[in-house]
This record gives sequence, structure tokens and C-alpha cells, in this order.
Amino acid sequence: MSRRSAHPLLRPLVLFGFAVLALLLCCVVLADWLYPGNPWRMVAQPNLPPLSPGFPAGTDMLGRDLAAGLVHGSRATLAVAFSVVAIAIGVGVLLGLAAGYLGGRVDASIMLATEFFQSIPGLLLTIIIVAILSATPAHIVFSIALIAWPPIVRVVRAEVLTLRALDWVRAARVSGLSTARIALLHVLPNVLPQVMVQASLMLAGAIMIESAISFLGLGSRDFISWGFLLGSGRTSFQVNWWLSTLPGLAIFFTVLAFNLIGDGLERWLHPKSARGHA
Amino acid sequence: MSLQQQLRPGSVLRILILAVASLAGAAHAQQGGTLNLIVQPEPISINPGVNRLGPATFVGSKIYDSLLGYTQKDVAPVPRLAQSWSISPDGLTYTFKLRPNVVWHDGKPFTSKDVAFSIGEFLPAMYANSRHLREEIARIETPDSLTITVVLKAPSPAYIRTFNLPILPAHKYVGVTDFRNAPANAEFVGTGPFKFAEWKKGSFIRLVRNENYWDKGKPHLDAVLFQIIPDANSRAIAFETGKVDVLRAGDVENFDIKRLAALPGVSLREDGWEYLQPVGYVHLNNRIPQLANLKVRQAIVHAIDRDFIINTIFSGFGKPINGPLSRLSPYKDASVETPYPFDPKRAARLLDEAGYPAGANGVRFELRLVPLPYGELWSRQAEYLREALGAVGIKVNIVSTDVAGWYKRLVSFDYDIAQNFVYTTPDPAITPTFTYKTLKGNDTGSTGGNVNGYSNAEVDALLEKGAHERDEAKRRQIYSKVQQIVSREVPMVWTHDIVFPTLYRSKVKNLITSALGTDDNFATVELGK
Amino acid sequence: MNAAAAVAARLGKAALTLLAVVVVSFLLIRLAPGDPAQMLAGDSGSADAAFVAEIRRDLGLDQGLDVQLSRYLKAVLRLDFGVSYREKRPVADMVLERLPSTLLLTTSALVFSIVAGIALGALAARRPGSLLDGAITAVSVTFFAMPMFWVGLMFIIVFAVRLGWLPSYGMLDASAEAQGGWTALADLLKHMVLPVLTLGLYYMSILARVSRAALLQVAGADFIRTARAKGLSPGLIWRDHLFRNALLPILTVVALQAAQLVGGSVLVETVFAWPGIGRFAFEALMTRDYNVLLAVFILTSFGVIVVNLLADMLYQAIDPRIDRASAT
Repeated sequence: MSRRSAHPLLRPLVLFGFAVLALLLCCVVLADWLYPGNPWRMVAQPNLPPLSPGFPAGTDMLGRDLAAGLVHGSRATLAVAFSVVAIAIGVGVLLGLAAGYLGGRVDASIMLATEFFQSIPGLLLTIIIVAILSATPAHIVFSIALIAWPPIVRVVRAEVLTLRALDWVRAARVSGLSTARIALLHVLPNVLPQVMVQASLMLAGAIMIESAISFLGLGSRDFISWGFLLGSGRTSFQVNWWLSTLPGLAIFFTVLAFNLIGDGLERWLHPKSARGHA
Repeated sequence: MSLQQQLRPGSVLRILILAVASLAGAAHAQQGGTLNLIVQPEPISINPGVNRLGPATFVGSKIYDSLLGYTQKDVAPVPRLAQSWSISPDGLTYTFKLRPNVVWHDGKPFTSKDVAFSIGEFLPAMYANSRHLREEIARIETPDSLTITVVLKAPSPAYIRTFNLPILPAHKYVGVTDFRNAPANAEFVGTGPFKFAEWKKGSFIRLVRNENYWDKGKPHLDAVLFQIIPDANSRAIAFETGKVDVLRAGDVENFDIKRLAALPGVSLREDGWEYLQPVGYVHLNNRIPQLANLKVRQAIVHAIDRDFIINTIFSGFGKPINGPLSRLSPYKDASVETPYPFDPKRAARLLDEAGYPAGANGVRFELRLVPLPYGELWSRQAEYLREALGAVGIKVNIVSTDVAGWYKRLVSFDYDIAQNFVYTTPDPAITPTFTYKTLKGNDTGSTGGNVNGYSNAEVDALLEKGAHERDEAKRRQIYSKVQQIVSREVPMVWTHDIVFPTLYRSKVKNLITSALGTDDNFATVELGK
Repeated sequence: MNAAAAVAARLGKAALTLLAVVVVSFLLIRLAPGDPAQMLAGDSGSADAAFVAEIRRDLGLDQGLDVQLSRYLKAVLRLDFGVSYREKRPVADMVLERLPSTLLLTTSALVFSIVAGIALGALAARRPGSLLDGAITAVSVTFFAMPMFWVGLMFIIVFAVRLGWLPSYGMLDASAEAQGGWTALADLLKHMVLPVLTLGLYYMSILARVSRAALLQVAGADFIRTARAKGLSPGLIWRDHLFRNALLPILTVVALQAAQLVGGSVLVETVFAWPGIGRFAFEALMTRDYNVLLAVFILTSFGVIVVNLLADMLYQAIDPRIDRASAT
């Protein structure tokens, strides 16, 4: 019980999450410095095992450096994930504010749309859209964002409904502030913390979906990604098991990190939330 | 077959004869057993009259016999449904005497009408290649039920080698005009050594011995089971654990083959492709300005390390090739070919000379690559091509496509460069002619056609002449000249002369005994101990 | 709103959602580039323009989009999902053949995840803060973060290839199936272990965390303390009060996950070559077999909608005070 005195964001697991995120950002920013040039190049003997001199992650069957692939792959993965979250949050917050604040028909139709997108098999829809529109990064981001925004709308709407009833908001309206100003200057800042929590979890989810799409072979062929590496190693694991293992570990740690951070944020914002102790 | 069926009068006699023959030592072959193989991907139909793709012909060739077989050496014709044949002195009339007492799997007798129907009506309605062949025929006659005469418009030395065709039962298509949608297509009635027994979709296709096969004592096997295993890893495991006895090329990735071949009781062989002669291509669309330039095409070939492709990507299963014909072709003349060794510096120089200097970012021009989505190795090759050409300043963008998209783009010229492999066949007049002859119109009809848009009047004339030249020596000269010109002009990149390995348990005997290899009818295959 | 009207409203909304699914996905797929007629022609090894045009006529692709849509809607109402471009068989039949396999897989995974998840959550909630609690939380968090297809791949490598304990693909060996009876059943169970675990561990981890949280929340509530003060045995308290109240959030989560379960089954069925509709949909995608793709999408959406409806009604039945729609 004495652990409760530590700040929720400073708990060891959350710090671990931040550490992984920091490492990832390093990879994204320093990729060209760590592994200059093209990660697709054939640079060495094929199928070198990990911890070979000069090739800590080994090479694949064409002699491509897996470590270079992993580091550069972080870019594709994080770029897609952050883009998805940016779009989903942008759209979700706007729709959530509209639904909660304007009420009536607007609310009803937005909620119908939200429920529709939550009632359909998300991954299947994403796969279909990517396969139909062709696998460019923009299309992948679009199709994942399409199924990612509903939870944001619900969260924002719920917060708005709660806040609408509060005295200070009513006071603001009485004193003549326009709806938009109230929404942006007063309601939004109160909504953002909860949105941040959702964002963190959504990042994890987006990474999972993007790597699933790449794994199935539906991803973009131009940018190396972890899911693609995993998929390409699927039939050759008898000769190079590291291609099927290491990219998976990368995805796992990244998703884990975002989940832990999200958990930490949740605890910080809602210390009395139904999570119990420890 | 139930005991009742076995004791029908005719078969009792047959059994007695067989028993006597065996006692006489005429057949000391191992009878019995089920051969387990893999067919992948699952075919849509196992009627090779309806579908000519690999899986369909692989399974269908056991059910549907053809008129002739072909030996491994020289791809020479041997009797199958045709017992003997003669060619008239002017080379125009082919008379085939058909084997008597052959019955279809439904019991009806096999006659010359079936052959006339197959090569005269059914197959030409289904396939462009068969239609071309039909157009070379002046008339088909069936003087009696066991004789068929084909009269050609012009002599064609290659013709006798085109009979790797299924013969279909005419009596099942009486009154049918729409062959494509005929219900009989799905009834799988042939004259082959195996009858269709069961097809459990997604699981297996089972064929059983045809007790009334014309070749007494054959087939030796009781049954053939084609298992459908969609996953390459699982196929390798199935072989390792003994569930499957034979692995054909493409069943598992090449890098697994050496490992599996080292297992005890497993043998590896590379023959059995003398008829089909597969060659790997990278098509260059001669219709686009950059690739219409000879120097650019030459540069591309020099930029690609084809030894790397053979040794690293395909794990050594391939041979170098510098011209249009496979090493297995009787007409191959490597001495007149232009070699194009791996030389990126030379490639860069040629591109400069061709008038495509590198821009500020090192890029000269861009090309779209349409990959062959047939498996991991082809994906790796596509990635390698992108890097190799990128290294000399040609930026390659890999288009994402499925098999249907790939097919469509190739036959309609909607690509810049594309991966492919083609069965070049044992006579240049059969497939290579269509690959290098100037195409009229915009649709090549198949991916073995002139997908590159190559056009050379001299080559056209030579190909036309060679198809009808009866003097063998002259014919060789003609095709040598063709190879010389085409090799020099390099309308496409010949990546490798493909070696398709076959892995099998040593107890399987006579798996490959003809030029068709495992695509033959398995009549002679035995399962030892 | 009285109960009957509420039910009617929900059913109405569900029907509307389903209609939207059909229309939207129909339009989406029809607007796609890529031509199924060309594909079918190519697949048979011959493709001249006349043949392709014939196929297009046969399949009705040459008519306007609106005509195709209305025809399709009417057909769907009759449960006629058209004919597969590839196999020339009614799609409904093909889906029916494969549906039982998927239902077997997903139901088993769901049952496993519910049982294991609640058990783990309860164990953790019994002694919050203990080592066991920490271990269970660690396990849940770990499996939640692992991509399903990776877990499946790892399982195959370790248990099927390296150790050889379990089969690596499919649902039944042809030989076992032929023998039938107990042999076939045993073979089926052996084949089920890895795919069910792969699919189920993810949802188990979610349910473990949710049930732990729910149980802890309820455990702190007043009426529990009252019951304890009254001297009721802990076991009775657990059974009668805690579980019933914890069921609500669990039910919510299960219903929410139904949509995700479809995607999960696509991945798991592809990795394990399981002959269900998930893999069927993926293959249909690769071959542009639009009718099949549409049918699977519509049917799985229908399944999700039904599950959500049932969860709603179950929720109402357990706790009539709460209107679930506004609780989320």
C-alpha cells in the first residue's frame, strides 16, 4: 500500500514504457545515421545468424542486414501509427464535441455512424480497403483511421455531456460566450487528458493492425516495416528463425510500451478508477 | 471395388490372364499402395481440357491419356492412345492408328471420334494455342473408328510434338455448343490409368486405379492422393513426417530442398522437364521509349547479377542462359549467343551512351516492375531487381498486384518490366515462335506470347520458314540464326534456365520416366518397401 | 420506454446497421479496380477478348451499378449470395461448408478466454498486491501486447516443428478423418490446441484484467461489507454477489470484442491454414472473388450485430437499471 505515494507516471513499468518509446524515437530520428543508405541493399552473406560480427541481428536470405531493417522499419511503423492517431483524434474530437454539445439530430446521426463502424469487423474492412485501393502508406493510414475514431467520439461525447451540466459552463453561456469559444477554450482542455489515454492505446492498436496488414503481404512494398519482415520470414524459419522472431519482438515491445504508458496516464487522471490496487 | 463388381464375367477373365502373366514373370512389379503427393494451389478443375494451369494438368494427366508420350532423350514420340502413326511423304498427312479396346472410365468405347472432337472442336474453343494449331489443319478425317487422319495446310515438323494434349470423350458433349459451361466438364471421365474417386475441397483429391486400363498390369499403384496443404512450411513438415512421398518444385521453397534431400531415404532428381523446359524471364516492354533502345536493354542485362539470382535466390537450382532456348532444347545453339556478364560499370556507360544521364539524385529514369506473386522467392527476386537496377540509376517501383492483375498487365502490355517464367517446349515452332514473332494487335492471348512487343522482320521470316522446313539440318541453321539475332537484341532478360528439383522417398520407383516427368500419367510408378 | 418498445427499437437499429453494411460494402467492392472477368479468364490459361466479354455478361458485370445493387439486395434477402467467380458454385453453399470450422475455432477460443480470464482475474482479485496478482497482471499485459500472427508463428515453430508435439496446419488429417470415430476426434482436438490458444490468449488477457478490476470494484462496495458483517461466508459472497456484478463489465467487453474476433480469426486461420471463413475471405481477396468477399463481410457483420444485441438483452436481464447504450 505504501507504493501509492509514488506518482503514477513514475512507476517502474511506465518508465519502462517511456524508455522503449525513447529508444524508438532515437531509431526513427537516427536511422540514416545508424544505418545509412538503403536497408534493402544486399550487403552480406545470406542467412548469417544474430550476433555475427557487424550484424547484430543477422541477415536474411538475400544477405540484407536485419538490424538495418528493424531500425528503418521503426519509421514506417511509427509514422503510420502517429498519422492514424492524429487523424482519428482530429475527426473524433470534432464529432464528439458536435454530438455532445449540439445534441438532437446531430448527436443521433453521429452516434449511428459511430455504432456502425463499431459493429463491423474492423480488420476485415481495413484489409478489403487496402487491397482495393492499393497499398500506399496513405491508403493504409486512411483505412486504419476509419475504424479507429469511434472510441474517441464516445469518450469526448461522454465528457462533454458531463461538463455541459456543470455550473461554470452554464455561467459561461449566460455571460454571452459563443458556443464555439466555450467548446474550444473550456470544454476541450478538460477532454484532452482522457483523449490522451485513448491515444496511447490507439497507437498500440494501430501498430498491431499495420503489422498484420504487412504480414499478410498487403502492405506497401516500398517501405520496410516490421510486419513485412515477419511475413517474409514466415516460410524460411528453418534457415533463419531470427527473421520470424526479432521483428515480432520489436512489435511486441512497442505495443507493450504504449499500453503501459496508457495505463500510467489512466491511473494519473483517474486515481479512483476501477483498477484496484497495485 | 466390391467383390460383386470384381466378379463380373469380363474381369474374371482379366484377373486370370493377369495372374498367369504374373506367374510367367512378365510382371514382377510391386503392385499396390497409395502414392501421396501435394497439389498446390488447389486447382479449380482437374479437367486439363478446361484449365491448363500447372495444378490442373498435374492431376488431370493421370485421368486423361493423350495420343502420344515423349521420351526423355530427344523428346521423341512414343505410342499411347495412338498405337502407330505414319506421315505422308509430302509431310502434310498424318495418319494415326488408335489402340483397340480402350474404354472410357464410364465404360463407353474410345474411338477416333473422340480424338477428332478434342483436337478439332473442344480444345481450340478453349485455348488460344490449340486454336493456332487448329488453324494449321486443313481437315480432319475419321475413316474408321480406330483411324484418324489429320491433313495440314503446310508441312510442320513440330506437329508430332504437340500431342501432349488430353483427349476428351465426345459422347459426353453431344449437342453441346457452350463448351465452357458444359456440365460434363466436371465429370472427369478419361481413359487414363487412374479414375477420379473423390475431391474433398480444401483437403485432398483422390484417384484410384483404373482396372480396365489398356496397358495390362498397369497402373501399379492402387491410388494416388493429392493433398492440399496451403502453407509452404506445412508442406515441408508433411514430407518430413512421411505424410507425403513426393515434393515437386514449388511445393517447398528452394532453400528447404537441400535440407530435406539430406534426410535418410530421400532422393533428389532434377530431370523430368525435358518437354516443358521452363525458363525464367524478366520481360522488357519494348514498346516504351527507354526499352525500345537496344543499349538500354543491354545495360539492364549487364546490371543484373544472374549468378546471384541462381545461387542465392533460387539456391542453385538453375543454369545460366543467354538466349531464347533452354539448354534442354534439341535446337539450342549456345555458340551463337551473345553473353552478357554482370558488369554494372558497363551498364552505366551504356545508359549514358543511350542518352539517359543520371540526374542530380542519381536517377536516370523510372520503371514500373510488375512482380510475379507466386511465392516468397519471386518476391525476393523482385526486390533484388529493384536494388540491382537502382544501383545503375534506374529507379524501379514494384507494383502491388495479385495473379489476375499480373496476368492482365502482361497480356495487355500494361507494364514496364515484369517477372515471368514460361514453358518454352521442345520445339521452337511451338512456343518460342509466338514469343518472338511480331504480334498483330494488342492482346498476346497468353503470357507465353510476345509480351515484350519485340518485332524484327528478319526473325519473323526465319521463324515462319523454320516452322515448315522439313530438312532437319536446314532447320537447325534457321533456328541458330534466330537465336543469334534474338540473343544479341536481348528483347528481354533471360534470368535463368530453371531447374525444377523433385524430392521423393526412395521407395517410390519410376516416378520420372518420360519427358513430362511428374506431369505424366504415373502408369509405371511403383511403391517399393 | 417500456421493455417491448426498447427491444423493438434495438432490433430496428440492428436491421438498419445491417442494411448499411450491405450497401456500403457492395459499393466499395464494385468500385474497385481489377476485373474479375479478366481474372477468371486468366486463371483458365486463356484470355481472348471475346471470352472475357462472355464471362462479364454471364456474371452481370456489364450492367449499371444501381441495377446490380438492387438485384443484389433482393438476392441477399433471399439468402442468395450469388455464385463464386472461381468455382462457379453458390457462395452460400461454400460459406456454409466452412462456417462450422470457424464457429468451432472462435467459440472454443471464446470459451477458453472467458473461463481462463475470469479464473485468472478472480485469483488476482482475491489477493490484490500479492506476487500472484503481479504475475497474473504481467501475463495479461504480455499476451495483450503480442501480435496474434506472431504468437501463432512462434507456436508453430516451437511446438510443431522443433518439438513435433502438435500438428502445424489444418483441422484434420485426411487419414484420421477417413477412420472416423475417436481417432478423428482426437486428431481434431490435437489440431485445435494451437489455433485456439493463439486466438484465445489475447482475449483471455483482456478478460483477466477486466474481471480483476470489476471484482475489486465490487468487493469494495458497501453491500459487500454489509454481507460480511452479517456473517455470510466468503464463498457465498463471491458466488452470489461478486460474480453477478462482475459479469456486467465482462459481458460488455465480450460483446465489444466480437467484431475484433472476426479479424483475429482471419489472421489465425491464415497462419494455421484452418479451413474456415476467415481464410476463405483472405483467399477471396487475393483472387478478387467479390461475391465471396461480400458474403463473408455481410455474414460476419450480421454475427457481430447479433452478438451485440444478445449482450444488450442479457445486460438488461441481469441489471434492468442500466441502459447499456449510455453507459459506454
